[in-house]
Amino acid sequence: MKRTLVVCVVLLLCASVVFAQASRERAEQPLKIGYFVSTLDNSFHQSHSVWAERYAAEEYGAQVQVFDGRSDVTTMAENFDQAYAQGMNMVSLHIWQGESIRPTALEALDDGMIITSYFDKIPELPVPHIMPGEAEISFEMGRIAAEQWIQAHPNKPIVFVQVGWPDHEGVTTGRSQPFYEGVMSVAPDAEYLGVMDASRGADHAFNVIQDLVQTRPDINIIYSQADNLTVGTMPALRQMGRGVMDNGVPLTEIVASVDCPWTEVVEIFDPSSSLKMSMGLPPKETAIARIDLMMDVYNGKVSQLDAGAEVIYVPNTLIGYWTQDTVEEAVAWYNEQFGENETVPTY
Amino acid sequence: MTVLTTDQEGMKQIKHVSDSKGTISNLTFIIFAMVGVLVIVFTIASMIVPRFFDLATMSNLLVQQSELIIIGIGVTFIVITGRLDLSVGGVVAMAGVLSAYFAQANTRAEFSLSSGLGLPYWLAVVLTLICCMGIGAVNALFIVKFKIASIIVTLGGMSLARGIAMIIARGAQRNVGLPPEFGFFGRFSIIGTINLAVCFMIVLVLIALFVEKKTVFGRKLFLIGSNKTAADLSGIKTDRQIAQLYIISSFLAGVTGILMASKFCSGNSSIAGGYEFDALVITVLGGTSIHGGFGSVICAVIGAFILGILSTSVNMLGYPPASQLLVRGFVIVIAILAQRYALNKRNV
Amino acid sequence: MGSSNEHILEIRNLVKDFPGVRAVNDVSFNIKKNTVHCLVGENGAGKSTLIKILTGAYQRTEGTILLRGEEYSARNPKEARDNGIATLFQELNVVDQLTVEENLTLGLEDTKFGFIRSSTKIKRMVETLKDIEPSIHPKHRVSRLSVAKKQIVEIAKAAASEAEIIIMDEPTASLSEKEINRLFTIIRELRKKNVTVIYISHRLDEIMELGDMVTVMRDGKHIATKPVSEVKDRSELIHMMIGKTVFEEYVPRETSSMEPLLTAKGISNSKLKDLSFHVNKGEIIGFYGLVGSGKTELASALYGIDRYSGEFVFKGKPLKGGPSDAIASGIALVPEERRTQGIFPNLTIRMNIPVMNMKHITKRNIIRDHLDRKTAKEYITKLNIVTDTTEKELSKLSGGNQQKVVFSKCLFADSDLLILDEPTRGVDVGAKSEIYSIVRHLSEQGTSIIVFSSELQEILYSCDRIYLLFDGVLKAEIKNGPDVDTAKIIHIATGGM
Repeated sequence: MKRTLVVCVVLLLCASVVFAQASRERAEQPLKIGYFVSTLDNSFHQSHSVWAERYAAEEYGAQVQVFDGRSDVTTMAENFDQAYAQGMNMVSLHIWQGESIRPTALEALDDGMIITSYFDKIPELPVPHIMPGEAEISFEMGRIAAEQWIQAHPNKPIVFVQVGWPDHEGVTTGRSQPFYEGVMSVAPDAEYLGVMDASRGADHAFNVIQDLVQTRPDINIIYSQADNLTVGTMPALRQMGRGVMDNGVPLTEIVASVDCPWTEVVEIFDPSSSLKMSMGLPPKETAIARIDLMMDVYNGKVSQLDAGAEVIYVPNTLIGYWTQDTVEEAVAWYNEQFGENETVPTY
Repeated sequence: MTVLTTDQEGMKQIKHVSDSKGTISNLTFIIFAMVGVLVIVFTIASMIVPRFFDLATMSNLLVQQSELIIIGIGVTFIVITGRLDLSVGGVVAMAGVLSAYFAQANTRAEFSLSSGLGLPYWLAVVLTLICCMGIGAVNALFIVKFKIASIIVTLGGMSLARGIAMIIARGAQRNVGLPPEFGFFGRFSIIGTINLAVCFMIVLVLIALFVEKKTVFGRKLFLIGSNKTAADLSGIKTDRQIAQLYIISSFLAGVTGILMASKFCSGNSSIAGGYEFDALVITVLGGTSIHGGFGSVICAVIGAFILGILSTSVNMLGYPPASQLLVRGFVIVIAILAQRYALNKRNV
Repeated sequence: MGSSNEHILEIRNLVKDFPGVRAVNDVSFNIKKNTVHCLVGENGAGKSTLIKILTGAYQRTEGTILLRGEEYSARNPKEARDNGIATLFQELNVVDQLTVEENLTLGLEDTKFGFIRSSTKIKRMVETLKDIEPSIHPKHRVSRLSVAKKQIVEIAKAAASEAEIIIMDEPTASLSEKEINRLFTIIRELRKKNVTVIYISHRLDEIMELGDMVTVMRDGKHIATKPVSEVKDRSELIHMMIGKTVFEEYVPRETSSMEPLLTAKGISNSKLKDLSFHVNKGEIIGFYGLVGSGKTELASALYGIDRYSGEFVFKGKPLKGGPSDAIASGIALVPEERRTQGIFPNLTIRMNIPVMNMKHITKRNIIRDHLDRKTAKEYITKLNIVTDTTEKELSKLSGGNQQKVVFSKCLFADSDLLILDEPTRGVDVGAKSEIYSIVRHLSEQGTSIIVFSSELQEILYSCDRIYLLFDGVLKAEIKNGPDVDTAKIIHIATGGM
């Protein structure tokens, strides 16, 4: 009994010393920013985390700590508890199914922590929110594809199709619907075949494209809604003697993709490939927007809680054969954004 | 000292013992029946799906099913012994990712996904196949040595292989910095869409049919599947054979994974999702019995084409994915019920 | 013939057709109330089909059956039970994981609001069981009971459900002599309690001992029905059943001069206690003992299935390894359980026969088709397997023919020592006699044979020397001959000294 008491007292003393130390440090230290990503396994997330650290240090002298959610809901929630316990001044969350952290978040807000969210909203917690702006790029790609097709083949009516996720809300609002509108804005009489399911992956996309093109050889615009589907889409077309262009002039079809990894950058500027554009996620702009938003709240430019506040979009980047002037420009963009050192391909 | 009692009626006539059934064997019967189903499905598809009845569609079908059929060979052999292999889909993904990882240039520094081991492609292929056989060996170890049900073990094998693929490809794909020869198998085309996978498939099916019908190895599959205890008591090293089968099955899945990665020029961790079940479905759909001791690789080929015609038709008609599942489920259930009914009727 | 009301069952012109076969061909006979009515015939004579019609498993093609004078037809086994016809199948219908009591009431549970409640029915069941066999505790798990006791549980179930007819299909197939006697007492008791027993057995001695009436069937036809008291002897029955050569009686041979082939030294394991014995070349050795005496365990040890301490020296070298090594060194086993250990049921005769010696039908591991077929044909002829084609699945053969295929397998292995574990269990008389002559023939050609059997007749018919096993211990070694004292053998094998 006595021993327990002594241990308790000692612990208490230690805790108070540490606490005092911590609060003293808080005043002296630069701003501490918790930067959440759903998973660091993804090169885009990896890149914008690097950008966030760099930008916050250079611009605000702030210190960024990256919290890796590891694609796991529990880890994400635990990360939040830890960020709070570590006394972060501000956090930019990327947490799936955020209901569970809501009570802690409210407590943290009371404590003066600044909270913003990215991509996934925290339900019923109206903190400022940032989203990748997919819709306008998708619209642009639809528009450009239709224009280019009409320019190359004014007599062949547009028949277009999308492969990916027919029933996914985010994909529908960000990709399927705006792409459709983009094509229709140029060619109101275009025939639309809808979104075909290829959610199982590249092999699925391969089969679907083969079957579609077999039944409708007149398909001439294809939106392949993710890069891991495009690796199936293009070989399927090529095996059927398509997927090619005559020095940048469409022959059989125009393909648009999403994510724009390096392989796609190379292929887009290949004058003999029919993959001609992709929607790239820009790591640098994403990081800047997320850091700036927190600073805006910190400086009182944006209110911390506002149920009526609008979502802020970070526009994605369109990488395209007809968008960038040269391949060098696209390569430079890629290298800067992803911190890579790729060389300009020769064709 | 002999007790002899004779009876005119009791005298048995010495009959000629024939080699054949007079009628066909149950297996041939089922194979014909399923070919019949295939013809019916084909005819219906030709009638209702525009441009289905076309040489290009046939060649697409061949290409699309060839990978599944290669996997189906190993799975059929295992199912004939009365066991399952659900790890094949995961092994396909793992093989694809590993072959890319091994072959990727090791000069790129910044991002781990674009940098691999930089091995020559042939070595990458060999190492990948060895790793795949490793998964098969793990399956075999637990099934044969620790006597754990194959469905449980290979479900574990599936997660293990898929998990390795996920880790190495970080849940995405490796397609940067691959050597040009990586795409060789995929680009290789004989005529139209007919690619190397189709050639491999045809050769492997022929070999498998020979093994199944004409070799001791093939005969033992049926003996083990029909009665493992009796096989053991008859001096057959059943454990060794079963272990070999799992390694062969994983090897074939590895071959498929390498071919697919080459076709897509990408080591993709999400590839071949659900292949383990598709491979099982084509096997059983074609008439191979899940209880063991009955079946043939040719059944898997027929099953694959029945399934292929269905999904191609649904794709070509542009039906939503839900209806695709529904049609598939419906046809599979009907076909298997019809099979059992026909066999029971025949064997009363 | 008496008045019809003393007949509980009257079968009139019954016909059952299967594709290509008339399994039951215009059969008519009556079964008297409160009798033990025996049904005999070779396998394939139509007994089983007839029984299956009675129990509702098959539907007749033509004919009438009168039960208690009224038209009877069962569409399924449940309807048969509801009509008071219970059946004891060869494969026992008990659930090992449940207790005796739960087994008794399985399918008859009284439920109230979905809960099982103990009712008068259960009590009656337990009472009946206690009457029949007080040593079985109702709360014990069935898996702990011997086959014989499981059977008794089933009989109790039938008796308590007020079945008026109990059909027993080969009930003694896996029982020891003592258990058989107990079963007979129970059957006699049942007869007193207003139960008619239809008794099917290949063991003619049992029929002579137990039966009141006997019906003989052959090739789907009814041959005769008469009181057992009017049957002169076994051979009269056999004559009616098959009408051909039956067992050759044992002719004493001098075997001690033969050179030894197998020597067992101090074989022990959890079931066997320090067994030492020897087998000479060309000799037929019998191991006689009751169920549980360690026969099967000894066979398993010798064949390399079970572990043991001690040593088997075979052809001068110690045996080691599993069955494949045993086969390689020249030993083959005809296992106890034909269906689960011997045959490959859904494969053809052709695929079954060469299993133990694939080398003889292959060249560089590739099967030579003509050898494959030739082998099958050869053994079909040699062992007189009744089939019209080598391509018949084993599951479609009768028990006797299946056993002949198992023998073919072992003979094709070309072994020097053949282990036969209960070689004629569930085999009809004709096939039995053929199997004995095969065994004799083999030994004359120099093959040594060890027969493990719980049928003394079988041992006495064929063996040169007999070892008596009781509870894993070798109790005695007896030279077979005309003056062998069977009473003494049974005395020793049942634990007496």
